[in-house]
Amino acid sequence: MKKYFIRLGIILAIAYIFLFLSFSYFNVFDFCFVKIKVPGLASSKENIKKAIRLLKKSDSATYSTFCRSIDTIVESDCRSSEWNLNQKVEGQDSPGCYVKGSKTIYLNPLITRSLGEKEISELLRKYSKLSSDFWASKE
Amino acid sequence: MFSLASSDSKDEKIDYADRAYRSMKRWRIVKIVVFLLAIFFFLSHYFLYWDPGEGCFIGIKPAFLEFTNLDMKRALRALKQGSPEDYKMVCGNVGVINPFIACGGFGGGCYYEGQPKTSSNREIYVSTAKDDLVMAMAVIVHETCHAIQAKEGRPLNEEECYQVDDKLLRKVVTFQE
Repeated sequence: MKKYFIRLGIILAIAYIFLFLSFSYFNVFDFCFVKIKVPGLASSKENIKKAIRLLKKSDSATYSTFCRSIDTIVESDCRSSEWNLNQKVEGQDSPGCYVKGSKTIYLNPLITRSLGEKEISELLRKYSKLSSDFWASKE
Repeated sequence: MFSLASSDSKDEKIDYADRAYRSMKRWRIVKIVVFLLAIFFFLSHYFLYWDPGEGCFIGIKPAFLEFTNLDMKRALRALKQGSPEDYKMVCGNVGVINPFIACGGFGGGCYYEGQPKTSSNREIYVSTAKDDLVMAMAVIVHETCHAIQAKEGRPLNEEECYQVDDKLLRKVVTFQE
């Protein structure tokens, strides 16, 4: 019986590590760990990971800022107003946004899935700068 | 304490037994303390939001849909940094956050009337935190607005609370450099 529990534990641990790595960008040498959360069905997480790698290759200073300023990417649309007030949500047509007070950015999967790595890396640069500026203003 | 030298073998036996017993007792106490500390850290990590600097103490009830309550705590921390006045409003008027689905449905929130006047007992329902930081922040602030209305003896007015979370959303969600 004990043997089966150990096997089950190992299987669960492997599944957890697999999911963990699948839904994150992880580079221990750069101290860079970013979770990619996918609340809906649409996702372009592989493109996002490629975009982060491209950022690392093309602009190391921006990549460093990104790693320091961002810990979570949520693949969802941005909502910057209350729908119930005028039956309209502002920001939903934006490719992404930054949430002040956090290290979280949103990327709209319905828009990013039609973008290339370069365009996504440009979005990452833009939103990580917003985060970096916000935290710099707090110091 | 231990008697180190004794010519009597019987005494020696008793001393050794005593030492082993004490050691075992000490080890048992250590295990109990470690176990209690582990329980304390587990409970405070997943079910308590505590910010002594701001005098903020909020319990977060367990709910299976959230998986963990850490996203809820992230929302509270983001609120603290992103909109300090809303954060103070939450800390001063809410004692418990319940992540379970209530009258607001999945992805919404709820405040039930007829709750105690003291903030430490007032409970709001927020079932949005999983993976959606922005909506969790908005719903926390919206339901806190209802808690304040109830505290002041006013009827629960949705329009007023929509204005409050709309203001928060416009403040914290940014697009442009």
